Amino acid sequence: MLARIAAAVFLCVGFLSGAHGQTAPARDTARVRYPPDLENVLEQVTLDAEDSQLIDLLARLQEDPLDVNSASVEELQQVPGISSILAFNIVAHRSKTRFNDLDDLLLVGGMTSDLLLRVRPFVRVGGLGTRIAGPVLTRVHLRTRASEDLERRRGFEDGTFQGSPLKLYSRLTAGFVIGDIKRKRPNAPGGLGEASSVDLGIVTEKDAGERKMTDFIAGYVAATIPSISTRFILGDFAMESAEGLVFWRSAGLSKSTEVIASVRKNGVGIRPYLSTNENWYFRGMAAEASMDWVNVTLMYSDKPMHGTRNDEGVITNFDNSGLFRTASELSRRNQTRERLFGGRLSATPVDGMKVGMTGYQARFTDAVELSSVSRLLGRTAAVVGWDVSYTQRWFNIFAELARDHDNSTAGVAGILLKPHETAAVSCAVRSFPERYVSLHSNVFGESGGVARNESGAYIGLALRPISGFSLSLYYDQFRFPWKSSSSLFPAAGHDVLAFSEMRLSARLSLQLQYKEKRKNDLGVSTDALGREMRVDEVRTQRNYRATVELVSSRAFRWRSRVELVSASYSDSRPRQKGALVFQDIRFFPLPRFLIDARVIAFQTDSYDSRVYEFESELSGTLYNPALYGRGLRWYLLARLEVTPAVDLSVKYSQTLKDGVKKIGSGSGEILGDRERRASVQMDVRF
Amino acid sequence: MCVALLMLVPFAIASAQNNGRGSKAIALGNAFVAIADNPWAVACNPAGLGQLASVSGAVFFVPRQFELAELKTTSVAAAVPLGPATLGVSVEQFGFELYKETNATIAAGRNFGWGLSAGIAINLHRISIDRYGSTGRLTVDFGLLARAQDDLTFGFALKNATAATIGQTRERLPQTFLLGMRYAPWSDFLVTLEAEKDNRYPFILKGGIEQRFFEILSLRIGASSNPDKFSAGIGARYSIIEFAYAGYSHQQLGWTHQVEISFQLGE
Repeated sequence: MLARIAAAVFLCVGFLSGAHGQTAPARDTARVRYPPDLENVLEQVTLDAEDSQLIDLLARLQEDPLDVNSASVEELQQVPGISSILAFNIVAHRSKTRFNDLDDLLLVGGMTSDLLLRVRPFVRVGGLGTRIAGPVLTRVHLRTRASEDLERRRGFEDGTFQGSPLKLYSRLTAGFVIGDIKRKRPNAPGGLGEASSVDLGIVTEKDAGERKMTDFIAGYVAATIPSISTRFILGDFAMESAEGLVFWRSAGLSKSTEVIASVRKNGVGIRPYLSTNENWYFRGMAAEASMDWVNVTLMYSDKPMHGTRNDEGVITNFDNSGLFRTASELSRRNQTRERLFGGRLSATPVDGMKVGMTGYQARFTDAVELSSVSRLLGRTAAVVGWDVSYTQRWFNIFAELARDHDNSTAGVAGILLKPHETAAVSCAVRSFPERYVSLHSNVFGESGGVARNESGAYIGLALRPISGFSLSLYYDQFRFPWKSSSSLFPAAGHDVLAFSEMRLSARLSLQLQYKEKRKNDLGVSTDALGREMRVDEVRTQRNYRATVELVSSRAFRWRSRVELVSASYSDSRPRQKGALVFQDIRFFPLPRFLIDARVIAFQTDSYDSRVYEFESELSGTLYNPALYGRGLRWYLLARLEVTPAVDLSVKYSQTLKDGVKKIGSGSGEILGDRERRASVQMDVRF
Repeated sequence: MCVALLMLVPFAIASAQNNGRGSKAIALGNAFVAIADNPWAVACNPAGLGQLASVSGAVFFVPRQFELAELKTTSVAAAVPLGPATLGVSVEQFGFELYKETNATIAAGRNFGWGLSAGIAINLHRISIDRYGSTGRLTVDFGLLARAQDDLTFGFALKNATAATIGQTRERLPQTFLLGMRYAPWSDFLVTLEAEKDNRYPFILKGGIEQRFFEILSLRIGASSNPDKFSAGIGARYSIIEFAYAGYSHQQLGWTHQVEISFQLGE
């Protein structure tokens, strides 16, 4: 029935709104907020998991863009596509000439019109001083989202899942200014402005199958007092420092088509936490103070941790799923407590140079012996790291070393070069010993951010030899000196990407991408007698992708894609192949109404040759489903500005698989060949 | 027996659909989704109706598919511009006295004016077998056409978007995804390429070339994979009338010939 409703909506939009369609406004004139296209950057980090903090960060940047006249280097680097060199050059440029318009960014070395188009949603040019007498409530934003699978999963049928199938998310943020709003002081470390302000936020989430509407709650109160260059956060917060060897959020950007910018992390310090990763954040208080060229951050956290406990009462695994639907999952809840005290001291002794020291000590109420680590962690974990970076107009060198309480030392170092406007190079090396344990880290590497049991070297090259043509390449070689999740033995591999974008005309562009990953893989093979054997062999996956994009009068965007996947093995298993074709359309049938629809046809030999397609989603979420088998998927996303303060978004999706009697497995299994989901979200802003 | 009959339905409908409709489409290897410039857009890509500014109609006849007299197809289609959209209808009958499939389609396509056309078609599939009765089902198709530049157009169609089922066993009717491009570097020459994915079968790649002579004669060739087919055709236009022939060769099943007569009032 819902499929028919969706079809009817499409029909009505297409034909009843024809008169408006002919005079549809350019996208810029429509007020509906639409997520910028981040597929090339975020695709890799959302393959089989979700980085909710990154999504929230980008959503927040979009809602409250950075002022290029006052944002720090670290803040600017949060914007996908802005490298540390470009951020430095933006700050250096504005110290001489203030930006009056975003197009002025094109005067900065390294900024191109294509890149400006991509970063535009996240930046703004701040005014010189709109004065508002405080105290005043400057903003309130309420977001409520509900989604539900329309097919009943087995866990709901047999009572394994204890709650309802509805997934709910609510978030409220508000900002107050105490005193006068003025322009933010340029280059203020930590992003401190000139007006004292208080921000607060609260988020609640219930996953499908969980019992309580408030299964997860996070919140904060943050105060910024520029007169003493200090910021406080009380409640839930996250911490990011240097290259992530000591502190980072639970996930982060990794290798992507942004072959230069993605190498350097450059943490921004403490930030309020309103994401839905239910384990890896801090709860307590944090303070950051800036004194000329020195910045000090102190933090204290005391919060329960979810994990698995063995028969001897030892914690063997920390839970990353945040799902508490079944008795088994509920038994992992609040299994220990982490009390952590940490901080960071950084200094900028000369222009472009930054040195810092970061560390923490964490105590658990129970013994911890992680199954993924070859040594006993005990009840205490401590890490201290040192970092240094030096940036000038055309280069940036950086390094971070960290040592844990067992004296294992890990390190990252790299250099970014931009010798010419048309070329940029990045190189980085990393070494994370098998025994190194840093629970709150997330690093650039092959193992999904885990800073353990990996060493590697990365080279990236970005060329823009002629207008309308760009070529990005990276080659990453890695080694796992100890057994890993992909191999029973020490192993090695490489990862190669070649990505080219060609502007064929003012409206038409073509993207070509080749990706190859060679890495050990654990699997099951069958011998001549039909016996199953566990095999550890080298797997090589190659992806070939071509995407055509047509942007017509900015009223609609047409995107077509073909992708082929091939997975081959060094020994016993036959090659697996997969293919995907999709058609995507995005347009404004009415000035305040946006339609985004996609149809995907796919066929793969197995799950191992699965294909991904990064989807448009409701604001604040991303979805990159793995498609395998034979089938067809489509979705329709509609966003309507009901009133100037209220946006309503709806998404309906359907996946139909041929030749199957069930989809999924275990408690998540669906009987039948169809999987549908409906989501609705309301945003209210004042 | 009735159950068995109804289980045959989706396969039968699929077979009729795969034959294609219209001599131009068939001669071009059925790579027609990005062209859709005649009344057969109703069946292939309803967005193409938005391109039709005048009344047009066509009759299409396949006397012996794979040289079997029982596999006979007769189709009629018409398109009429009406205010904001162009409406199209088509009726097709396939089979013989003992087994018949009838497909009736009503469609609408609109050109939005920024190089984008969109269309929707509602189909009634009906199958009847002598002495065993009949069954039917409605399905919905969507289509899009985007003109990138004067000589380059992209086309897309999704058939049976709602994944309708049929019969007591609720067998799923096939869903088909079509994505193609039309490139016409000269006014009398075009190349078309298309990918098709029926959710039950591997991808099909299709392509065709058309060369026109003196505005009255068109020669067409095409090919497609899975199964491998080769096609060719000719069209002759006189005033508002066009006569067309197309034939395709299936590697295992042999030749199929079809003829069409169509008209178009105005340009």
